[in-house]
Amino acid sequence: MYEFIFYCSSVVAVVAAGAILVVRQPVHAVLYLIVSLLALALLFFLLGAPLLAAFQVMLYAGAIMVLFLFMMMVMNLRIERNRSLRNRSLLRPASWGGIALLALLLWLILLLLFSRSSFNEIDSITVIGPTAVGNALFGPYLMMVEAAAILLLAALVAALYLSQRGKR
Amino acid sequence: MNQWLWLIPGTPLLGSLVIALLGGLLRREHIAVLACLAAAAAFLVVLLAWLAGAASQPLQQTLYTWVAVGDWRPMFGFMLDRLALVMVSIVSGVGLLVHLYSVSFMAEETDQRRYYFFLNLFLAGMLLLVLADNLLLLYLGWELVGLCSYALIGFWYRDPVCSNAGRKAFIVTRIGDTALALGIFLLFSQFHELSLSALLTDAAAQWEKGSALATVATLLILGGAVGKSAQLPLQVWLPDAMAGPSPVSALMHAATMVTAGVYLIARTHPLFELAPQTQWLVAAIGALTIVYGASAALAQIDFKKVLAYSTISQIGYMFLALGCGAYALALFHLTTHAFFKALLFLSAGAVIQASRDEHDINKLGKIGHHPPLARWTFLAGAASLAGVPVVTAGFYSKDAILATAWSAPAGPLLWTFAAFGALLTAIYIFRVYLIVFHGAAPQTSTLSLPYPMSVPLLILALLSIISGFIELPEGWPGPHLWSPWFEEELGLATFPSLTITYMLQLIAALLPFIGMGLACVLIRRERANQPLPLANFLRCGWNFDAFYQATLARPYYALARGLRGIVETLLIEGALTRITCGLLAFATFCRKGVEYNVLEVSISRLVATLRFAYTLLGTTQNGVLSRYALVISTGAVFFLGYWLW
Amino acid sequence: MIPLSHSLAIAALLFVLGLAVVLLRRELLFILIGLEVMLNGVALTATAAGQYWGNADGQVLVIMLMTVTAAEVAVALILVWLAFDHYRAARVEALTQLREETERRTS
Repeated sequence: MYEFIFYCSSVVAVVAAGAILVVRQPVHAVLYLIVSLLALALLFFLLGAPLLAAFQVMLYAGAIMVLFLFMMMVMNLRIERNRSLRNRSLLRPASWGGIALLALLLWLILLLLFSRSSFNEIDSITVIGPTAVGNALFGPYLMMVEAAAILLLAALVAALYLSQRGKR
Repeated sequence: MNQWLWLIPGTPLLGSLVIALLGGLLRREHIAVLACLAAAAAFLVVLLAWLAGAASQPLQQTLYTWVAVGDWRPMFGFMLDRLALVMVSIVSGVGLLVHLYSVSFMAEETDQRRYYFFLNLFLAGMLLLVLADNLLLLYLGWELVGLCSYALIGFWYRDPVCSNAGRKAFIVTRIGDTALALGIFLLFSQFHELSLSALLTDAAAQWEKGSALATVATLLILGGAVGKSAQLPLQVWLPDAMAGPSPVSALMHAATMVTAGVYLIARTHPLFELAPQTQWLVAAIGALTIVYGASAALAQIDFKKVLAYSTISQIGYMFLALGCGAYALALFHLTTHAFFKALLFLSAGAVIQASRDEHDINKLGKIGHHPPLARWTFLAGAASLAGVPVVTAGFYSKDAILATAWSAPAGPLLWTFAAFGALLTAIYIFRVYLIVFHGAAPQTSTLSLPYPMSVPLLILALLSIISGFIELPEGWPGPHLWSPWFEEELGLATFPSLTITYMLQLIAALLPFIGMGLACVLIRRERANQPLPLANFLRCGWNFDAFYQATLARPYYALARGLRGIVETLLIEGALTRITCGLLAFATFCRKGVEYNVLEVSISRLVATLRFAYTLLGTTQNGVLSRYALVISTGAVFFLGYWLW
Repeated sequence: MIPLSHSLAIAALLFVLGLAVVLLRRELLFILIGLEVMLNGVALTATAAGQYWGNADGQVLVIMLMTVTAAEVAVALILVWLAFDHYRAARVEALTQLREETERRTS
């Protein structure tokens, strides 16, 4: 049962990601992305990281996706206008065959890389809870938290500045 | 006194150096005074040497080692024996008088610095020559004298005649100098020694009398002496040397230059005694030159040229005496000749200057108005030159030479030449005197000469009268100081038996008077426009110049022209032009090759390659984000694949 | 129990699919979405590895990743909007201002 859920959700995540490739509407793509992210959140949970699962839902599906949708809303009408041009290249295999091959190659290489190292199979899931993560974050990785804070601040400033320019 | 010997040539040398280096700081008059002081200092040192007993004991001084080559070390040394003492006295004394005379004679000249520089250097060179104790140093003085004579004869170098005369003097004497240099080389190769005393002793010890080497060596030395002393056949430079200022002529003829040859032979007389043929040749040259000079002087119309030919002739007497072994008598004549010839030149210079540089004796005679002092001193000099008996110095010296020539090999022949020369001498000098001073114009001039000119004239006039009295002729009662004093160094002259001597003396005493009479006849004929037969031939100095021109200069020029033609046609036209054309073609080829093939092609290829690579690279920079991402991920894939491998 | 290699395979698949989106799609929004997918693949890798080793480092890394992503998306979306606004371009082909304009010479 546990494995079944894991594989099902991973299939969902992969299929949703693959769907992004082929959809035409950006809104659809964003929706597929949300599906993928939620499936991934479930995977995180199943792997024993409940905090990450919660963050995945909140940050990605909540915050980031809202940004995407908001942007879509601003640009939507004009994109509709150019629909005839869009994705025409995808209809021809020659235009995406090389890239698909490259992607496949990369996946195989990654698989090989991962399989080269032998892992001990573990029987049970060790849940690493928020306490442990919190201890790690504010213990040895405190400096990284500070760096993240500064990064966010910089992003905030940049976003404000750029939106300022945009208004002008 | 020994350590002060260097001052004799040193003071004029110092004077010339100061004038040359610092003359710009001095005024013209001061340069003249400085030069006179230098000459006077040299003369003073000579006088001191007399007082210090140089007359009895030779003085010597070695300054320093001049050159050191292996075991051969020629010294910069001086030797003041009696021969040198007499020479030094004459040179410095007459030199001083000439310097004094120059002060006012050259007062108007603008280029005094050069004049006095060379005049002092001239004096220094001659004193060095005379004092040298080895042949190398002697040769240095010899060349110095030659250089200065060139510079002073060509003093007015803007006049091509003067500069040509200087050049001629230099080149002709150069022939003699070369001979002398070869002679010195020969002596050095034989004895490895150039010190005069050692050399002469060695030569006397090693060479037999009449040996070929001695003959060759003496012939070479004779060549040098002939060149410097203007004897046949190298006499051609002296008449032209009149182009220089009169004091220079006086100095050159009386003291510094032409006597060098006589001094050289007297100095090396032991060598000549080893080679009797050469010695007889010396006498023969002397005898011939006497007649040559005197006869050429007969027809001259240039005042100073008369005196120049007269010098040639008088030096001939000295050579005659040298050739007869009467070295002391040669020196005696040299002394008296120095006095009266300097006197003649200086008074002639005064006359010429007073007549605005007129040299033609006929015109001088018409002008008149000559300074009386110049006239009387000239007369004294002329009498001495002609050898007016008893009262003049010239008589004593010349008479002694005439007498001694009789006893030489082929003596009567030599004597005949010499006596004929004496006759001619009297004719030409009185002819000139009469033409110039007893010309058409009345002699009413009261021109007086400035003291720097009149004092030397008076001193020289006095000397040319009285200097003969120190050696009265053979067989006469009275002082015989000269020959015995030189006996130790130069030996005694041989005289014929007393009866013959008296006969000869009588003839010699009569000759001047005959000459005077003939001169009057000659002048009368000339005034009647009946010139001497062969006058033009004589006036040109027996056409020696033309002869040399035809036999030496012209063939030489022709040879040079021919060689030049050959060289031009063969070498320059043929080879050089071809080479040049070839080089040009090669250069053009290289240039074209390099320009078109190498530079053009390679650069354009390079540019094309660069442009191609640039466009290739430029395509990667196409600004399409997807392409960049693709390239990055391709790279990542390959990198990972490599890692996996 | 899920072997680690399976998780990693899924993560690699996600990453590759995201990359394919980035490379294939020309719309700026799709490229950003592809980047998100790729980042999720990386996050899954980090989580799976962290769980395998039994410590919190993997999760810390993922949290870090999320922060970076949030910042990146915030700025990138504004830039996309600005590009659209200024150049009327929603596709990357239009954004070639940085490209060097070279004429191809055939000499």
